[in-house]
Amino acid sequence: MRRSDVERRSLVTAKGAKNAKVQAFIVFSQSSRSLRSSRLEYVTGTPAAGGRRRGWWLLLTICLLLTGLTSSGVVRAQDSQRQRAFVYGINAALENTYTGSFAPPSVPTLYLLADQTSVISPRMTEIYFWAITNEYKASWELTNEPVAGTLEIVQGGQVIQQIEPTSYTIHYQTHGSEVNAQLFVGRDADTAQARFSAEQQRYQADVTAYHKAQQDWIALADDANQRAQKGEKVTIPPAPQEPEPIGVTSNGINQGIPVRLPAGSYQMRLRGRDGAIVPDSTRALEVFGARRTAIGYMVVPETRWTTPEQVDDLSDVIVGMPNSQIYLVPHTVREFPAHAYALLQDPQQQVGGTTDWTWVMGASITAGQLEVVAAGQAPERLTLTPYRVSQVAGTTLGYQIQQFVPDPQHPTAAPDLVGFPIQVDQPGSGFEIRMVSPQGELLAGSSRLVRTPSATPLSLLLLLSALPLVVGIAVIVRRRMQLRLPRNSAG
Amino acid sequence: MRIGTSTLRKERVAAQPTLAAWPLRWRVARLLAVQELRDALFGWSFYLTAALGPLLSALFVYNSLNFVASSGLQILARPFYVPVLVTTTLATLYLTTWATLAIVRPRDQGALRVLFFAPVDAYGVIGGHLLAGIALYGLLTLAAAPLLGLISVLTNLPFPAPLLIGLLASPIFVTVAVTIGLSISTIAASSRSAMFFLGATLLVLLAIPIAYTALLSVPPTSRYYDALLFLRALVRMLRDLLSWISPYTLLSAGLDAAMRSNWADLAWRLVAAAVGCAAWAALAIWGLRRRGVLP
Repeated sequence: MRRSDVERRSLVTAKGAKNAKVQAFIVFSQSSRSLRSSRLEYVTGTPAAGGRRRGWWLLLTICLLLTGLTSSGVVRAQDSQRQRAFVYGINAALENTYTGSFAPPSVPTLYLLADQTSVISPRMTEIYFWAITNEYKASWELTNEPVAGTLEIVQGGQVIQQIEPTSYTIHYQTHGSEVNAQLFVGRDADTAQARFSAEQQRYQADVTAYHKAQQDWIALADDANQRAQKGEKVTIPPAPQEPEPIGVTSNGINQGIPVRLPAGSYQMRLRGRDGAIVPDSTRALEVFGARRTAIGYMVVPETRWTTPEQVDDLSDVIVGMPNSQIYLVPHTVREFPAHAYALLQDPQQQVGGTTDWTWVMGASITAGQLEVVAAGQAPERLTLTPYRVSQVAGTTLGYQIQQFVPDPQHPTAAPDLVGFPIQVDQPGSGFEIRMVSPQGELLAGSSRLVRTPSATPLSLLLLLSALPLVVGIAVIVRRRMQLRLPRNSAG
Repeated sequence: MRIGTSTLRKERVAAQPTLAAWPLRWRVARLLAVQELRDALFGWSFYLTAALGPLLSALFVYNSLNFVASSGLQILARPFYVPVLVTTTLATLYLTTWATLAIVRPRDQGALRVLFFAPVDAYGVIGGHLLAGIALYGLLTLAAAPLLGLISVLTNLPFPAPLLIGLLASPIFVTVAVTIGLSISTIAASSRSAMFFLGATLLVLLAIPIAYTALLSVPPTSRYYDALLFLRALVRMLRDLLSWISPYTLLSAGLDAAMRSNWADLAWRLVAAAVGCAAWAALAIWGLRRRGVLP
């Protein structure tokens, strides 16, 4: 703002203030308004003068805001500065599926599961730092160029493997709520993809035929309906059946380097076609395996089936309320180092170097029986049973778990839950559960304890823990009495 | 084989070990251990420690029962692992404090000088205190284990058998704590300074993992480099080192290995504890001979 403007504004303000005072005096002396309203007008000035002043303030505020918004770097929109970079695209093998991620140059170490084939794809892409999640993002849609070369795996300074890129595809198959993935490499990938495409085409043809048949059937049904209204006796043919979905999705044919290594620490680098190491391609590679493998159970209580619990560790105990019903869904579990497993799924994840271990749920076990062993009783064997969960109708909230009965009208309907039904007995009881294979062999790592707690008052537990103190009082008092005896007898 | 009290030089000369002295040292160690045990059993701190472990365990178990009563189901991970760990850790902490005062307090009072009029030497004294420490821990375990067993029976929660094996192996881990306390006790100038030194040591033991967690929560200075990288690596290295030195970490790792029935891991921890115990005991013997028996 120029000086003349400021001076002019000061004059206007002073003049306005003087006029306001005079006007307030006139109003005070001439009118018969209340004293309160006069004072108010004196303080605030006349409505016209106040409006002008407010207008100036508003203008000044808008100017300041505009200046601030245009000049401040803090409130400027996030500027994503893209840069071309060498990255490794990773399709890391998990327990029974694959997870996709990428490792920008800022990631020094890649983590993979031992003895499972993962796929690494050297790529040039454009990356940018996304401060909100504190990680680099890749603009694959802008640039996605495979980098030709041979992947070298180095251990102890020696190149132990040289792997060439090949074509691969991953097929994801859905079973209920589970998704299982299968990797095909090389010629197998082409064959699998061709099979998938044929299946897809067949399905599309079936769907087209189904839609046509459905339209014909609707027309037929409408016609039959009209004739029925006229009094004719009609028979409606059965509705066409929807074709079975193929249940498989594919990520298509891609180029990548399949890596399968035993557990250990390695280095990897990409040697380009010119014989030189591609810049930014040298990374550490940590390949890790499971510490323990067992059979875990998903424990579904009947009263709250939407919030199941998980039994993983071999020493875990299922403690349930007396006379309650639970369902056990068996599956494999493996125990991995928590730090490595987190970075396997997302190499850019901000995790500390914890020494904790984590159990990871694997594929469901669909065959075998559950043996219930209670003291003094013959072992009872339970079979896997399908269940359907229905919401309780009416105002009562909750769910009902009922045995699943296949409906011919809905042949594609699947059970909500397949598990072993377990009845928790009276307080103080307990038994052991363990799985046996269809051949009758006991499955290792499947044994767990189920207990119903006894109602024990806290006072009893506290009394027990006070026992050492009671002993201490007895010992120390006796000792002091013994020490006093000679003095007492002398006195 | 006698440590004189006239001058420090004479003490050092007289304290040279010979093979013939070992039976005598063993006898001295046993006598001292019995005396120390008697003294500890006539004090309140032993019984308070013996009661505190089961008390906390009872509260922990009751909390689980309360949870089952309200939610209907609980997957009790490693039942009685935390109660046993709390009980043994408290016992270890008590014994570390006891050992820290075991040499320095009688030295302050002049009793240590009197003790050395008898045919005893640093080996016998440290050995005796080590034996007493193990015996005290054994008594504390003998007091706590049946109570935990009783709580298990009353509540119908199982007490895992592998945990009993871990409990049986735990005295080896406790010897590390006792010898660390004895080392502080022999080197410290007074009881006060010994306790101060112990407090500082425990603070360092606690501070390293906390510092590492705190460093992890500090975001990187730049997206391209991390100014705290070296510090993080250093504190992490210290933390890893501590897991093989600290008796508390060794104890929890040993119990964990026992719970997993990983006997090789347990054996490694026991070896580490035995080596640590020998090293700290040697330091305590050196400290006693160096520092002498005079206040």
